[in-house]
Amino acid sequence: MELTLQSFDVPHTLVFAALLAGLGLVGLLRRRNMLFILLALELLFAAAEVAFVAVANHVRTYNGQIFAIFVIMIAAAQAAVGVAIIVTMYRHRQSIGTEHWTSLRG
Amino acid sequence: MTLFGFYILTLAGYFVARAGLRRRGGPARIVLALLGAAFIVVPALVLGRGLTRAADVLRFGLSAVAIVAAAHIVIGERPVHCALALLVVFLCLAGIFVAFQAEFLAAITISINAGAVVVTFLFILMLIDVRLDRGVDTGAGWVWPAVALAAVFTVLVAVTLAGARPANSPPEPWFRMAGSAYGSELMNTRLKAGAPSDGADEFQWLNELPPGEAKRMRSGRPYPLRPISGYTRHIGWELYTKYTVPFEVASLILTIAVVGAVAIGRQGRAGEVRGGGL
Repeated sequence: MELTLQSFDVPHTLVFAALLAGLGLVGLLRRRNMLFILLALELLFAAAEVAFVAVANHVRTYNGQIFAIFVIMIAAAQAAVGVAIIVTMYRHRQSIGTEHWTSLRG
Repeated sequence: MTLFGFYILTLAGYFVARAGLRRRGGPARIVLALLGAAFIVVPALVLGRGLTRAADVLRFGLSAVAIVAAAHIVIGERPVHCALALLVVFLCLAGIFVAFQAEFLAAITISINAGAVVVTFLFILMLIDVRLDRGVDTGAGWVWPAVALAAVFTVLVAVTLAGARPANSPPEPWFRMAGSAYGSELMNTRLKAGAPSDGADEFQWLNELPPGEAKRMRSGRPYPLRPISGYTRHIGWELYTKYTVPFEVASLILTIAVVGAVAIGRQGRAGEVRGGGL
């Protein structure tokens, strides 16, 4: 196993994206606060964007970049709705901890 | 796998530095913080000494910074610090996008993600009372799903590394099939303006210029009285021709999201919540 990198290319960036997505998943499962869960969700979206851009660079097309633009749009919409939901949750029970919202469990 | 080990070392260095900075004082605080920094910097220098291109160095360094900031988002306790760590992640992402020749994406990452989304999070921090999150353990029931997820990701990383191909090789057959199933010719749009492509070349006039001028135009530098050829122009062209319908649907989704956010977050006169479905 070589101990230096000759380049930092698409596979390396995909490793980075996978690790970013893993961290986002850990945050998503581990946090007990809606705000932090939304932050971890943004991490997941960011990992998807990085993977799209890297693969677009790999195959020399623009399609991946355009899909990354759509991912950014969806992330923005999700942040807006999520923030509104958090504010409403806080008005209802004065808490956004998930332990106070177990009644939503299906 | 070397890179994966480096990221693990980076996370370890973050934990050490964090443990040092959380101490109340004394020399151990500084020593541990410096030790943690050394955990990150020394492997980075060892691993990155073979990099020659500026884009590689940029991607490598910024990815390490982004991993540290992402770890802080996952285990940090103070909400404002976590939101600012998200800002750091997005700025690093913008740098990586620039290194991948996606300048437009870098610009909208900064303006939308690092601007609007982070400000939105900071905004609700002002609205509501968020206490410190100690990351309460979710109990033993989630240990095995978490382990399974981690195993899946490890396998994915290993497969990615094993199946890595050189950057200029043609795409996989399934990738072409996916493109033609969507109705688009994937290989018609190339990253280099003026490069020979399969069909009619929209930038054919670039090739008819004198060699020096064509080179200057392809490099994207400002050129008097002529349209500037660049990656952003290509993306705009694709977005408004081939991807018009998805683009309009996305704008519709954004409109619905804004209307829904206002409807959910609206408060009645007497403090009762109207419209909220919760």
